[in-house]
Amino acid sequence: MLLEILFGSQTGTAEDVSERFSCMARSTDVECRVRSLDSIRSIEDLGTYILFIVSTTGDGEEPENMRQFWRIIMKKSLSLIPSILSHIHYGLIGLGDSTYPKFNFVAKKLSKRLEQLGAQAICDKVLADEQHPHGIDGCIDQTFTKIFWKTFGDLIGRELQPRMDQRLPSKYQIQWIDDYEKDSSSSQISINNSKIPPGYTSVPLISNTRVTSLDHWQDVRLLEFDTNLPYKCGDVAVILPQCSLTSVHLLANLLNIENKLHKNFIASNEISSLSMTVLELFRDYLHITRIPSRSFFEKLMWFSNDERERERLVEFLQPENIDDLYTYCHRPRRTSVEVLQDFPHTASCIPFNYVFDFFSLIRPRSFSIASSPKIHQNRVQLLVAIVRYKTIIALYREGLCSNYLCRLQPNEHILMRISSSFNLINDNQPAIMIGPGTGVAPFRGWILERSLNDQLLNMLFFGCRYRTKDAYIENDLLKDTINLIYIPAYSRDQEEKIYVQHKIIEYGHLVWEWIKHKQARIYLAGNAKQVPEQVSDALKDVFIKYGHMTNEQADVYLREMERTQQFQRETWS
Amino acid sequence: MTMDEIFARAKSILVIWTAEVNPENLPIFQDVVQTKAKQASTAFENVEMLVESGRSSSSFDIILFGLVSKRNTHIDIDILNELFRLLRPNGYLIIHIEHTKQSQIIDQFKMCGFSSCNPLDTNSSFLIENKDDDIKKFGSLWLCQKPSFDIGYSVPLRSTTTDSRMGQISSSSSSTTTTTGEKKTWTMEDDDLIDTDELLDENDRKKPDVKKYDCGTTSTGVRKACKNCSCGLAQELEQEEHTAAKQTVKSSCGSCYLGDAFRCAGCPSRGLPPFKPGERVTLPTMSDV
Repeated sequence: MLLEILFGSQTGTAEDVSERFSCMARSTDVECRVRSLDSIRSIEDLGTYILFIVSTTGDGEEPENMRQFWRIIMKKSLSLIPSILSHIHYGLIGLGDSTYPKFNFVAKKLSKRLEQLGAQAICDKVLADEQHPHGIDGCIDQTFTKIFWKTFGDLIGRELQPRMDQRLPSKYQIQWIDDYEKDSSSSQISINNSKIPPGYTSVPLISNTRVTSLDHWQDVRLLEFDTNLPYKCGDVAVILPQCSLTSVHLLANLLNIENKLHKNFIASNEISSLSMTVLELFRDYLHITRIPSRSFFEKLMWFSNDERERERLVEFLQPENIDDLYTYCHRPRRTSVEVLQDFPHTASCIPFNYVFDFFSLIRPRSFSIASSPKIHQNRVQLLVAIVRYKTIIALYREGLCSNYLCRLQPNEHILMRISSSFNLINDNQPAIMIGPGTGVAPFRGWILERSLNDQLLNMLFFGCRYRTKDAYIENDLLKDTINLIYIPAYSRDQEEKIYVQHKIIEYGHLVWEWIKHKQARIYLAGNAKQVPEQVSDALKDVFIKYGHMTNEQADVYLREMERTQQFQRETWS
Repeated sequence: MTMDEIFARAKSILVIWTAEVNPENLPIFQDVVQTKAKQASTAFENVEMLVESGRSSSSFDIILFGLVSKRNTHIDIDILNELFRLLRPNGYLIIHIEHTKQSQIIDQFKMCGFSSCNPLDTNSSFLIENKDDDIKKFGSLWLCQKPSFDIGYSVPLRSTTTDSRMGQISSSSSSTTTTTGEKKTWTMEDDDLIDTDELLDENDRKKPDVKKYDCGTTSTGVRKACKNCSCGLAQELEQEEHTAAKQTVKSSCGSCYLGDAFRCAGCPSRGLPPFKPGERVTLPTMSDV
């Protein structure tokens, strides 16, 4: 009897939850296996007992490591065999954020589809919400965890009592390597010679320039890299960030392992092994500054022997105190390392091999490329908004990748690979581009490229807050040589807020003329939260007013445009 | 192409004039134009009658707007759209514009779809012989071209066969291949899949009522900033919280030196890392973080 835990995770949250349920299963002697959904190659790969844990990302889309599975489970031909999954008993945890319009759409769709195909739910699914006062974990524990283990236990004829307070074996065994070839000074310099993961290239930075005014609270950078990696406009640069050395040293100190920072080790288990130095582990591999999930605190209990700290941990973990834990950790965005700082005695008791159990892996981040290979030869340029804000914690909260990029100096190398993303179609048709904020990035390079042919028509709706502070696109695109109709929306330059959607309506006659009579294509890039819905609404308003359509007709027209790639969008959360 | 070439190749030219023009000047202007444009037939239209006369689209190689009159003729979007329509692809509009109105008018040109708008040098002054000196001095002749691809009229987007969907994307476009297959690219195979949107009903599309979440305590936390808050709300909120907390009674519990995990809500050391009892910690400078 095997419980399969299958997850679809974009930023690692679903993977964390899977980890936690796996620990719970093992603690009550339930054999389980955790895999991402892209390990499912065909419908036959699905076993009898499954716990699905799926996130919804971007604009209602499934995470990347679920795309293949999505195509398998949503195949039309499966509908012809409605009992094809009737042998499956499953639980379903959906992860989402209700401030997005398509809240948990992936989990909802999967649930309906599993039902259609005859699968049997072990218990009601949970649609966990970031906006829940206690976040994802709180949501799941409140409505799902107990019921799931109870009914699953009933199903398999056992009483299951999962507990998180018993130490489980660590994921990896550690072996230290005495390295006679390298002396410690060369390993300090060899930071840039560390292993390069497959697919990535080490690429040097040329320049790192702030493009918002100094008196603006937001720091946006234009980064330029020297590389001959081939790309086209619309592609993204996928970057593996590093944690700051300050955090690395702080963690090493807390774990009493500073003297081994430059030592090599091999970590291995039945499935895999890896080898690196402790410094590399904390800087390049583990996300040590991640906000810890509930299971982090549960695992701290495994090692705590200081009375005061233990007592506090027990308190934090009690169900009735979940709000306290949330107020302490999640709301102010306290990092794992900072939590360990507050529990120093416990931290010093954590054996080195358990770091893999406490910390998840650094995930790569994607940024739309803002340059054009034809104009900026051998260069990749990125527009990056630095995420940095204050909570009650004295030190600023910082986004891992954006701050990594912010700190980069010329000639420093980063790990990058190129991936396709936006399909910007290169033909003669006019392009209407909508790109508020850093969403404008892919259009920047593309407009410059398209201007090489002065027959091509371009229209850009750009939104920012202040004309004098963050209209960074204007320097690049407002030139005589660039054939562009530029329509900006400066949201805070006047009393009422003006956004791109207002401008679309204001210039509706022109937009309609281009769509209807010039077969223009529309491209939208931006934040998934508000922009897509509001822009879609604005476009429909234009169809209604100038195309003389009803609400329903406008709806259909827009959907048809999407279907035929006349309207494309790339959004991120 | 030079102006001479443009005129030499033209087959049909439209001259737009206004009421204030002395009609006797028109045949003279025509002669001047004809000398340069030997193959062309020239038509004349009064600006007021332009839209009404409803000439066929794409019928002129060159349109000369308001060049015959002494003063410059007012032009607006509606007239421009009409001129655009009347020009053949690659056709030219020639107009004289006052410097002060230049950027506004050029913007309008672009809006209507004219590309390559360029000022001419004074070799083309044969076109503005009639203009007053002060007009010539404070303005320039502009040459604007209509793009070359044929901007046809509407083609229905909806089609019943799958073939025409591919036909919408012209053959010179980039294919939707990806080397890594990572991001969602849209291929013919997607026809294999059901329309997943149809799985959802009205209830599914509703958002949960956040207020109904049972947090088990009386904490409110209504305005919450998102994970990657870059709009400043997170800042705002937490400053509010911090100042509010600081205003409460100073704690005398003696645990201030421990980390936030052990401090009271009103502790003046809240937000700082733990320190040794009796000593105050200083924050590392931001530069090495």
